[in-house]
Amino acid sequence: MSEAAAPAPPLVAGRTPEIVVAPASLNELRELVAERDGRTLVPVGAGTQFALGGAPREPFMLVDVRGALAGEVEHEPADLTAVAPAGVTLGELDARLAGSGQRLPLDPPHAEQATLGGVLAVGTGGPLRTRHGLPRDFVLGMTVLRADGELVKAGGRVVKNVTGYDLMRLWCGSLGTIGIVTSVAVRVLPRVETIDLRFETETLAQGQALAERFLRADLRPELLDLTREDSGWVGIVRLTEGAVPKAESIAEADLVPSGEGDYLAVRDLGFGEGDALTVRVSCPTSAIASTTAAIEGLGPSRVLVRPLAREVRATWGEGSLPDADTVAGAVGRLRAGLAESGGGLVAERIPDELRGALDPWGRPANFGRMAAVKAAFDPDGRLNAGRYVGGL
Amino acid sequence: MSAELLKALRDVVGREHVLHKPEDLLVYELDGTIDRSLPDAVVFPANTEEVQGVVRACNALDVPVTPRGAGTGLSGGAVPTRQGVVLATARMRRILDVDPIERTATVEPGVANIRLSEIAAEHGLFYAPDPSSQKACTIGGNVAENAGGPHCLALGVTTNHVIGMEVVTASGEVEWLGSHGPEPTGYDLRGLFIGSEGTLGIATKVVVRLVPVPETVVTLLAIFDDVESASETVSAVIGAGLVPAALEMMDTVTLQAAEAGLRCGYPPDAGAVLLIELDGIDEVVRGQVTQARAACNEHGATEIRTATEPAERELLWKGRKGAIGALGRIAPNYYLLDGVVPRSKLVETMGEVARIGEGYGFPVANVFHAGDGNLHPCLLFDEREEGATARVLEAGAEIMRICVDAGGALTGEHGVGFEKNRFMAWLYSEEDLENMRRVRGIFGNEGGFNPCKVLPEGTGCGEMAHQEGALAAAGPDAYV
Repeated sequence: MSEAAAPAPPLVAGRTPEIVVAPASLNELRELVAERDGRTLVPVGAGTQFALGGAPREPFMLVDVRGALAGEVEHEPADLTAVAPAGVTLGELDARLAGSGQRLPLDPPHAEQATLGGVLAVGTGGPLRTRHGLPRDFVLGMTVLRADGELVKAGGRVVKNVTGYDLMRLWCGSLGTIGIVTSVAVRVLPRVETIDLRFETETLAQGQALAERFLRADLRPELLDLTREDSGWVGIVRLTEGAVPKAESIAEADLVPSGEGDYLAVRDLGFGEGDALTVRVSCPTSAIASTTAAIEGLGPSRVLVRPLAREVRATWGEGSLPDADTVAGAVGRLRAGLAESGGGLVAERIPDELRGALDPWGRPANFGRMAAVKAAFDPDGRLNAGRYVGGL
Repeated sequence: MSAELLKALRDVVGREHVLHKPEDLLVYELDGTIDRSLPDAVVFPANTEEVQGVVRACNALDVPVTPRGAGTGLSGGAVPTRQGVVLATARMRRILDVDPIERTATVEPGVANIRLSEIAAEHGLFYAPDPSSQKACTIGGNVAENAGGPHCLALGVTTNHVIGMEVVTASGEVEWLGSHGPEPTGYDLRGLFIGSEGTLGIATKVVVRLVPVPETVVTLLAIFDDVESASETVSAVIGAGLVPAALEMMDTVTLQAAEAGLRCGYPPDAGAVLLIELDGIDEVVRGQVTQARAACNEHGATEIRTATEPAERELLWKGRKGAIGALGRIAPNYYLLDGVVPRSKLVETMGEVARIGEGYGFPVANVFHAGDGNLHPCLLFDEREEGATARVLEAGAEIMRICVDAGGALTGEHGVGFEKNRFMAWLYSEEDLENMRRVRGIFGNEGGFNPCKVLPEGTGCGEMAHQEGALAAAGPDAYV
C-alpha cells in the first residue's frame, strides 16, 4: 500500500482526513477494511461527486479505491451483459462496449472520469435517465465489500433474475455506507444512431408541454432537458433519426441542430469549477413549475428542468450565493411541500459558509427504517459515517 | 387453531371474513406449484388498518402469517408452510387514483394486473409488466414476486414500474416505501421490498407508473424447422441492434399441443416458432420489421406471418398464451420450471434439458422468453404412476443445476419461494445468504412471516416437496 504523497489532502465537507491511502489490490483494501482501527473509512473513486453529503465522523481515513478495484471488463455482446470491476471509469467501459456497437446508457456529471462503483454508490442519473432510468436499473448483480471485511454478492449476470433479495437496489444510491461496491454485472444496450436538436420556448410551461407531446407521440426521446436563458427556455432533445420528421411536425418550435457543447453543458450543469451550491429536486410533474419558481427566486446562475424525469437542478456560483437564512428557509419550505408527494431535495454541493444552515439530504419520513438498514450492514458505523441521510 | 387466535382475528376483520373450517381452507393450501399445506385460518382484511391488526394479532400469539394474492404463484410463495394464518388481499380491490398528468395509478393490492391497463386505456396509457396470469394475478402478488412477462424485454419488470408502496411490515408497522411519483431521498427500500416474496411485509397500497400506448405495434410469427435456427435468429435480431418489445419461442412439443388444442395453423413438422413484437412510431417500426424479417429469412424461416391490427396480433399470440394449458392433451400433469441462462447458452442448455427429460422418461415442452434467456421447460408426467412425482422433482432439480452451471439463475420471474430455496447454495455462499438474511431483521421478520421462503431453512419447514401425493396443483390453469 502506498500513502499518497499529495501536498495537501482534499477536504471532505470541510474536514481534513487524518490519512489518505490508496490500496493497490482488492486484498489490501479488504485488509484495510477488516482492520477496524477506529477511523471512519471514506471511500472515493474519481471524486466527481466528492462534495456530496455531510461531514464524515472524525477521525477519518480517505481511501482511494481505484487501484484496488481496477481490472478487466468482461463483455458478452451476444448476451447484452458486461461484468466490470467497480474502479473502471464509465469512459473506459464505454470504449470497450463501443467496440461491439453497444453502450451502458448512464451519463451522470463528468461521466468519462466517474468510476462505475462511484456512479452506483451515488445513484444519480444524467440526461439519459429520461429514457433509460437510473444507474440501479442496469445492475444485474453486485459484489460488495462489507464493513467487516466480508465480500458478499447478490444477483447474478443474466438479464432477468429474481433469485434472492434485490440487495443491488439497496446498495445503489447508498453512498458507500453499507458496503464498498467491488464488482458489477450490468445489462447493456445496442448503440443507436441519434441526433441532438435544440429548440427555444418562451415559458417553462411551453417546454414542458412540448416534452409531453413528444412522449405521448411515442417519439421516445433519449433525453430532453430545458435550461433557463435570459430570453426564455432552451431545450435539447435527442431523437433517433426516424423520429425527427414527426417531432418537427408537433414541436410548435423550430428544431435546429444542437451545438457540440450543448449536451455536455446540461449533463455537467452544477458540477463545474465555479459552481459552489448545487441542488437537485425530484418532484411531481404538477409541482415542477412552482418548484422552479421558488428556486429562481433565490437567484441561481443556472437552472435545469428535466421534465420527463421530474427533476429540477440549479446551481449558484461563489458570487451569487443567497444568504444562509434565505436558502435554509426556501429549502425547508420546498422539502415540506415534497413531504406529502414523496419527492426530495438534495443539496449536491454546499459551500463552507452555508454548511451549517443546510442539511444536504433532509430527513425522510421512514428514517427509522433507514437507520435499521445501516445497523444491519455496518453496525459500528465505519463506512462513510456521517455523510449520508440523517448522518448515517 | 386456538380459540384465542380465532377471536383475535374476528375482532379485527369481523366474523364473516375469517375462514377456519377445514372444508373452507382447502383452496388455500396451495398455489400454482406442487407443494401444499393447510392453514389454520384464512382472513380477508378490508384495509390497511385491518391488515395491520391481523399481523399484530398473529405476532402477539406467535402464529405464522402467509400473504396471498390470487394464488397464481409458481414457487409456493403463498403456501402456508408452517400453517398459521393466510392473509388474503381479495377484498382490497379498490382503484384509489388514476393520474394522467403524473402517469401513475394508486391501487389496493388485490387489484388484478390487467385492471391497471384497462383503467389506464382511456388516458392512452398502459401498465407494462404482463405476466401470463395477468387476468387473475394481483398487483400485490406482482410486487412480492417482482413479476415479469413476455413484454418485459424492452420495458422491464415490476420493479421498473412500481414506484411506491404503503406496506404493513412483518413487525406490524405501516410505512411508505418509495413515493407517489418522484424519487425519495435515502436507501431504496422500495427496491428491496419488491421481489422479497412476501417475507418482509404486505403491500397495502401500490403506486404504479403508466406508460403511453405505442403508436404502432407489429407482431411477427416466424416458423422454423428447428430450435437452433430460431435461436440463431434471436441472436441476429439482437445483433442487428433491435430490442423488440417481446421475443418468445416455442418448441415442437409445445407447438403440437397448441395446434391440437387451439388450431393455430402451425405446420405439423414445425420445429420452433418465434414471436417477435416491435413497437414505436410507424416510420421507425417499419424499418425494424424489415430488419427482423431479414434475420428470420437468413436463418431459415419457412414462413413468416405479420400482423398489425389488434385482433390479428391476438391470433398470433393465441398459441403462445394458451400453450401451457394445451399441454394437458399430452399428459395429465406437468411440472413447469423457470430458469435463466445467458442468451448465448440457450441452445446448449435446451439440449441438456432434453437429455435430462429423456433420462427420466418425461417429455419436455419448452416455452420461453428467448430474448431474456428465461427458460420455461415443462416436464410432462402422470402423477398416478408410482414415484412419478418424486422423479419429476428430481429432474427439475437437475435442470436447475444446469442453468446455474451455465452461468444462469434459479428463477427469472417465478420466485424462489419454497420450491427452490434449498438450491440457493448453488449460487450463493453461506456468507452471501447470511447477508441476505439480515434484510428480514430490517423489517422485523423474526421467522414467522411467510416462513420457509426464499432462503434455505434448517428445521421446521418439513419436506413437503416429497410428500406422497402432494401433487395435482399444476393443472391446466397454470401460467407462464
